[in-house]
Amino acid sequence: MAVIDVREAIRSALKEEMLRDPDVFILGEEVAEYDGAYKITKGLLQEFGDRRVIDTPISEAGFSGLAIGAAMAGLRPVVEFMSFNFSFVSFDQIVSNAAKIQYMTGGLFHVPIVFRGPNGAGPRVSCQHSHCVAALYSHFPGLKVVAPYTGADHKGLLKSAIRCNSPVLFLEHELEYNTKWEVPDHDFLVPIGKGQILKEGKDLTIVSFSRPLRFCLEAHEHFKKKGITIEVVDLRTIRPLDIGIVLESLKKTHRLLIVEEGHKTNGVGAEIIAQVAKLGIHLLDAPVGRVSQRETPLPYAANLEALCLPSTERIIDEIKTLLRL
Amino acid sequence: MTEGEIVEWKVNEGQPYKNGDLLFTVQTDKSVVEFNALDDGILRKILKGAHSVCKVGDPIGVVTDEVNEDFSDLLKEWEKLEAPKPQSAPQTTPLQPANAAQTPVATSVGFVEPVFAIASPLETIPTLAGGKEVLATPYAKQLAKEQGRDLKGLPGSGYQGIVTAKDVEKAPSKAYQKLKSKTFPEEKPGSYTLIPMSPMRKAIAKRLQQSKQFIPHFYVTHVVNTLELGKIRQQLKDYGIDCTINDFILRAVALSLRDHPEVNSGFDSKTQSIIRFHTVDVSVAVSIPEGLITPIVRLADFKGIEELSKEVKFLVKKAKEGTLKPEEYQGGSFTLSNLGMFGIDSFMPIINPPQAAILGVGGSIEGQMKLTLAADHRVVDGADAARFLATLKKFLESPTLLLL
Amino acid sequence: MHAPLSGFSYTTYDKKKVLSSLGKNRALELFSHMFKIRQFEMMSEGIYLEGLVAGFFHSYMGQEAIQVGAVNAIGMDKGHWITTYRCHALALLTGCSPIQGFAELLGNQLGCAKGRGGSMHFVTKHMPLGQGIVGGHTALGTGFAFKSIYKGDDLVTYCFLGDGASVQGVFYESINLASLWSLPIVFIIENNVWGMGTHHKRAVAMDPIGAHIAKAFDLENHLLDGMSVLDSYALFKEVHERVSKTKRPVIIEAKTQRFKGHSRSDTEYYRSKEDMEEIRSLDPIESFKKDLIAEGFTTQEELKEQEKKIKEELFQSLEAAKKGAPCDIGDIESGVESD
Repeated sequence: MAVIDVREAIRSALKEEMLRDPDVFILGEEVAEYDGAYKITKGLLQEFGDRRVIDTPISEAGFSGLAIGAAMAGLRPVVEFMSFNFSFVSFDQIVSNAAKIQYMTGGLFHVPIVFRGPNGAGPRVSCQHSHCVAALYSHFPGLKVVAPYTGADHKGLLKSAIRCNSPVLFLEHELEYNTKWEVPDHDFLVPIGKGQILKEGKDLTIVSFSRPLRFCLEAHEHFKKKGITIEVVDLRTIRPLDIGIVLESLKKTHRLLIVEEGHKTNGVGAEIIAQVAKLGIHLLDAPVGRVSQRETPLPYAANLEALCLPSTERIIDEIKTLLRL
Repeated sequence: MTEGEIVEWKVNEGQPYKNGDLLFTVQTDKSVVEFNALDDGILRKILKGAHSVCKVGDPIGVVTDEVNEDFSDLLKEWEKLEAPKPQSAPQTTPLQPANAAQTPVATSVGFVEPVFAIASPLETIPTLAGGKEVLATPYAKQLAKEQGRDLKGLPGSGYQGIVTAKDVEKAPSKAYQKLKSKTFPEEKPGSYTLIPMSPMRKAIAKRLQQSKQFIPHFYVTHVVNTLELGKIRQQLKDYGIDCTINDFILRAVALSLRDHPEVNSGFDSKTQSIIRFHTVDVSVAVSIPEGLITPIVRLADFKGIEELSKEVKFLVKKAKEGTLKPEEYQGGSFTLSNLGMFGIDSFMPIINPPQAAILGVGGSIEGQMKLTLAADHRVVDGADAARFLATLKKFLESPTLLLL
Repeated sequence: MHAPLSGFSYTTYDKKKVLSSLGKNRALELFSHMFKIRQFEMMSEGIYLEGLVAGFFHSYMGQEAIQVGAVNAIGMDKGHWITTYRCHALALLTGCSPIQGFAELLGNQLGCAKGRGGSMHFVTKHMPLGQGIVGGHTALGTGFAFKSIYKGDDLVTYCFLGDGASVQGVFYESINLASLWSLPIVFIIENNVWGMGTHHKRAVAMDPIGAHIAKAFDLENHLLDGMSVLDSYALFKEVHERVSKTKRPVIIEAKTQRFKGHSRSDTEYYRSKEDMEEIRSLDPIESFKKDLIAEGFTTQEELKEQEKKIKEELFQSLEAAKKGAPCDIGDIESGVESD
């Protein structure tokens, strides 16, 4: 066991998988000589050489398509998007090609590719750099979408993603890169498609993923002092969704709140609520709440930005309403 | 497009054409469309000419690669497809005979039972003035169902006054609600179930229906003083001999019938004549779970009280067990029916055909007992009935005579 | 044929030399491949008109010389073959049987993509995709070429696209990556003059297209007479030799004509009857037949015999394809993802 930051956890996953399988290689903007825009890939060029750690031009559609073709040809690329906001430029390659090829070719070709990078809102980076793409990509059959929170999950899930024979979008968060966690040293995998309980409770269930979990946990502490326990569910994978863990939790608490960094409309919360309404409507004892990014491009001004993103205060307020406190 | 009309052939029979040449034009439902040849060939025969309406897939012409290729097989096939189908014989419905008068559906005695329609149950339960749908969370409703609680009128502590799980704990149980409040049941007014009749029920129904319908019943009532009867019975009982009031009545009826053969009679509808029975065989009405049966005490006037009592007990037991043989309940010259044990003061029984009379006995209330004789006026007149009852009264009020 | 602007010329070869290097059998094979594709496209159009095939259908008729020359010169297993939705010909040349082809159009289990792709998405082991989004496949092509470098094999990737696709952004991204990283890929711009209903002069600010792009990205380029199967054969043979060694990408612009509309739903208002007559006079199959006869490799009658045989074979294939089992609705959501 070692205490390392999220960056190191991701890097160790990449390193371990590249050592294990010679077909795994990394490409993206600034990943090699610059050590990575967020220093995730620091040291990997030195260790593996420029055949396996490749700097690309600013050409998302081109290098995404190239990586998808290489995956079809039998390699296992890990593509870094400097931000998932830039993935929109290669949206056609991801959705029309990566997601469809296994199916369209009747199983003759597979696309074992991972797209990874920071997702959601960085600090004060304004309107075009602050999207959470989880809801968008998890709409399409053929793609898997994962979003870890803990350090161990970053490592274990990335390894699983690289070994997976389907395209996986691996959503990180810039503001979590420095967070330190205890991460096991040995080779371990975290399964795709399974959530986990971070904190147990019996009064209300919060479901969330990635950075907003930080605020959910703070809200848990806040209410614990008042004798109210909030169960915090970390989805870890958005598609395929682990609705089972949500329903199990609702059997105890009967109240649901979903927190996400994406917008409310047609977000991940909407999907969770739809499934709960079908599979577990009799578990609900209160209307379902959502705390998400407000329905506006994210503003630059600090006070506005704070109000638009999920925060501990917004979560506490919403819980108070749902519990009628 | 499913169908079109050939407008014009641009190539003649026998004419060769090349890939891309215009062969014909077709009028679809939208416009006139050209069809160009996909390959080289020779048009040998036009099967559907100009102005033919064809369906998609219909053969319209024959083309071959070579000018003298034989295509007679294809033509034969085509002819088969086009041959007019033999008309199947039209189905005619057989004519109803013009004078087929409606023969009434006969019951076994020749009359049509009218149908009395059952009113349909109401669609909804009419609500109390001011009644409202309960707003509760799905979980609260689930709990209420599981615990048998009634949420109506319960104040809710949830969002917008919705009833939540913790409010359900305060809800009264459904059983209490049934008695206390004006809450409506869930059954819609007028709902019903149709219960088919058991064979015994059917038999009783048919028999008594016919009896009431066809026998001209009349009724004569008489009040009898039962003080003496009661005393005698008590004396016997004190001695360990347990006879019922009905046993005495049975003896009295038997002796009276011996003296009044015109009441110990019946009516034969087949021959339209009076049946004068030679023996006094009294049918005793016994209530059983499935309905009603009348075991017969044969030669009742020759049997003393004790013997009658034993026999009746024995027959009742058999009746209740369902082990009576047909000859034990089919027949009889007169029927005795007693509802006195229920506290009834009198009733008008229905005659058990082909018998001509039946006695309905009420309860002994303050030393008085009402007897009602129902009789078939074709056989028994008022005076006969009255005389019979007078004799019966005499016996019952002097019960010592019954002990002889 | 549109004469190229001055300063640009076709890469051509001596017909007789090519024919004699081919020999009679290989030359006749070229003919039968072209004719087979022509027949397949024609019969497919027939079943489309019968209502058995639906959706988008893009015919390769008229362009046969290009891909037939290419695959025959190189061999299907020496390359990765990628093209657009106009993919029936390339599939038939790289391992898809006519039965599988017809069955894919009919949409049943015998299809090369198991009925899940349809006309635009034929697939074989050597042809990973017929791709539907214009230009999108050029990036995928670079991925295959990348694999060749990574793994050190000597396969070359051949990526076909149309004149309309040549101005899609991702194509330039792909060429840039290919040139920057020296990826063994050949982009063949099959310029059939019309991007759907738009003449290439109204869509592309370069003429010829390939030559200008190649210059911009420092690449070898050729202008090919796409109606000559012999030129195509010889050019691809030479290019493959070179690219498999140098790993430098090449751009070939093949000038050709398509005999049919962009797709079945194209009513072709933009070409007149006279235009079509002129276009059909350039038929690559007819001109090659003349070359074969002139070379003494065959006779008119022999060719007719051969055509008849091919027609019969395809007819049988269509009948067999029609008997294919319908796609299993039981596993409708399967095969979408892997673990």
